[in-house]
Amino acid sequence: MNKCSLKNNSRDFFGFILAAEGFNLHSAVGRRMLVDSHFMTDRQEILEEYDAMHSAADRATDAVRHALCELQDIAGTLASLENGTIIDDVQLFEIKHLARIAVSVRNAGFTSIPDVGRVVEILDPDNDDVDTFYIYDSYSSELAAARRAMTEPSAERYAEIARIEDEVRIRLAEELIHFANPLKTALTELGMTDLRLAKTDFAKSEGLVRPEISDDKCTFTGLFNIDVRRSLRLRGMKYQPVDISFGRTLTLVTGMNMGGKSVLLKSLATAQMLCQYGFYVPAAKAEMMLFEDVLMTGGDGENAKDGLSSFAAEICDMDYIVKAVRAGSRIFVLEDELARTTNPFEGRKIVNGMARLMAERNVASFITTHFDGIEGDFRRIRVRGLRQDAEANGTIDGMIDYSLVETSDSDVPHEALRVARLLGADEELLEMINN
Amino acid sequence: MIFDLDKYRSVAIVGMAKNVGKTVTLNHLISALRGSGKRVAVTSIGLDGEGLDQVTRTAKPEITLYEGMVVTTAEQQYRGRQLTAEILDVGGRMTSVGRLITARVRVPGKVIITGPADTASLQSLLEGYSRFDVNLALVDGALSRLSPASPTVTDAMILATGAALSANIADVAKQTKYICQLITLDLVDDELRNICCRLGRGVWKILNDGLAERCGETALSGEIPEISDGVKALYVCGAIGNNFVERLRMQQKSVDLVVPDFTKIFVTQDCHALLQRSKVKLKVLYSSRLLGLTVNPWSPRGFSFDSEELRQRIEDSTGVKTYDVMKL
Repeated sequence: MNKCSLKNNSRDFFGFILAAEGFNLHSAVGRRMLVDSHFMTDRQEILEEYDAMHSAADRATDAVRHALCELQDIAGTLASLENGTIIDDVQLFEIKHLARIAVSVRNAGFTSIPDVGRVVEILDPDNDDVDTFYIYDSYSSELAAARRAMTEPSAERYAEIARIEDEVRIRLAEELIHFANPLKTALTELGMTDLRLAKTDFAKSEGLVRPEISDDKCTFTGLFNIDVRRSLRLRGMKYQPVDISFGRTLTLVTGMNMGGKSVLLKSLATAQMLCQYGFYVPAAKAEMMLFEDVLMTGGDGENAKDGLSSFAAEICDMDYIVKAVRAGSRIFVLEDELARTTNPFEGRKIVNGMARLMAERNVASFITTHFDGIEGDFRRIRVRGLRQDAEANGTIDGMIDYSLVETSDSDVPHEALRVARLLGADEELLEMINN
Repeated sequence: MIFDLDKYRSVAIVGMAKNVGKTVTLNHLISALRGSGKRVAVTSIGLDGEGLDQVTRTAKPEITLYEGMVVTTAEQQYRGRQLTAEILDVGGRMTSVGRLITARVRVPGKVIITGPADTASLQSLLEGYSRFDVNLALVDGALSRLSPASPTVTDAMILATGAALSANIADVAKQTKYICQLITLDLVDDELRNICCRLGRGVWKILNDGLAERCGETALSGEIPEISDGVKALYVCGAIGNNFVERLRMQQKSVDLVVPDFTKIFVTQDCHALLQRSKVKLKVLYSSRLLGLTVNPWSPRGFSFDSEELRQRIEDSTGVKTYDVMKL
């Protein structure tokens, strides 16, 4: 059972971020920093990242942003420099370019970037203060003389010039090798600056909030789903944010179809991932606890990858979760319509079993279900669902109240047919269903 | 200087086939521009200027550049340069032969030039040249590719032709004349141009009252719009081929057939000849400035024509000033 789709969730997360409107990196290094970033489980680390974002946004002038746009990912060139390989003019140009950007951004107050001013001096011997580069005459009087002597193209003379140029290149590489490490740090720090600015811009454009970090509870006021809200806005519709709080317990979520159960689970998962990758989160106010992993299953049948049947994939996912729970991992589990891939009789038993396990082990978890009769001592919430006057309302979204309410009932709402009729399902079919 | 380049910011040098002396023409222009005060940049579209012709394995002249000139070529070719140059810019976009390096020549010498692979990238490169204080860009067109000569990319062009086209001197003249005809096609009138300029890709009917009606995605689909009485012109924003032109002609309706420029016309000579005698008038939105022709009397297959005879015949049949590259 190693084909579990749960393990790829960080890749999906980066895909989501990179595709998000409002998230704009200036450079390829920034992108590399994002994809290389890790899921943080240490409270201090996250808070420090938030502080760093804040201070980067404070210092970022237009000049800094412009410099970051010019940033090229020259990790390969820096590796050659470090290995003592002779570097050619294109690579020297790249190093000079990086060093100039590093100096200008550092001078804007980004002091975590090492001072590589000496590199600029070495690669700008005439103090021209330009980005261009070649093996300057001033590096060698012999070179200057050889070049002066060549007024017409001549292969022989060029060979002599090339020989002297190579000597200069060796000398430059020897001088610059001492700066390989500071340059590497400068490149990563510039990339991190780019990433942090992209994150704060993203937070601003989407209205994300800096969460408080708590030890044992999560409380969201006005939690929303970035993608769903955007697509609703495009259609001129309003998104209804929800308030929710939970601790290290199981919450069973019931409610009508289209009541926003899946969106709730996705929003919770996204908010958790965003927080632990050092982003602000989609809510008006948030207090969050930290987990070692976020495991979300079900939903839109995307588990049926790798040629597994949907049931096999579901069992596989459950197995992964159970093993993680048994190993004592502090995980956040979100199971959307658990066991929907099999018959209701056994499906109910599966949900009951899973719910018992989550409740007994005090796993912070959400399970959504349409099955009634899920028994046990745990918290239950329900989507309020269809408004009384739903039929009188225009759009389907105007008919539904997405807010959550605590309930003690193990029964589930039976509104599927009413929703189907509101959606405009065929009357003859509905007739046949009812009789 | 045999060609008058003063008024143009960019000139394409295109060949009708391989081995027609395009590179010789380019080298001639470059050396003539040396010390002229023009701030010249040289690039190409696709691979060119390689030491040996990759297709026919015949010797090819290299591009020689002089102090102060700007060149854009791929990383791989830049590394093999035989000149000293100051790197001005390293492009972010990868091509099949690495990134594009733009550099200013410090000490003269030779280099192989491989510029952008497509016209859109070439266009943005040319636009960016002003940053480097360039006021004339020469673009070496690749094998059988007229696209860089599109007036939307370069301001003017020089066409190279020669014995490589055919062993029959009359045939060389005929083929060259046809391309010149296309290059110098009539422009649409201002009124029609103003309408067409605003339209996007696709096939459009322009009605007598000036309204435009989209009637297809492309002229290559096989669907031919019917020309009814109210239609004064058909504008194809894209390529046209024989099939489209033939079936339009057969409708025997008086109509202007408009394309953006001559590089969009993929119609054979015979088909074009019939069209000329029909009621359909082929016109362009943007015309190209043909500065002149060069001929190479030598064929890579081993034969050659008399230089003066070829030059004269080409000049007579096209009405465009023609030079022998070997005698430039």
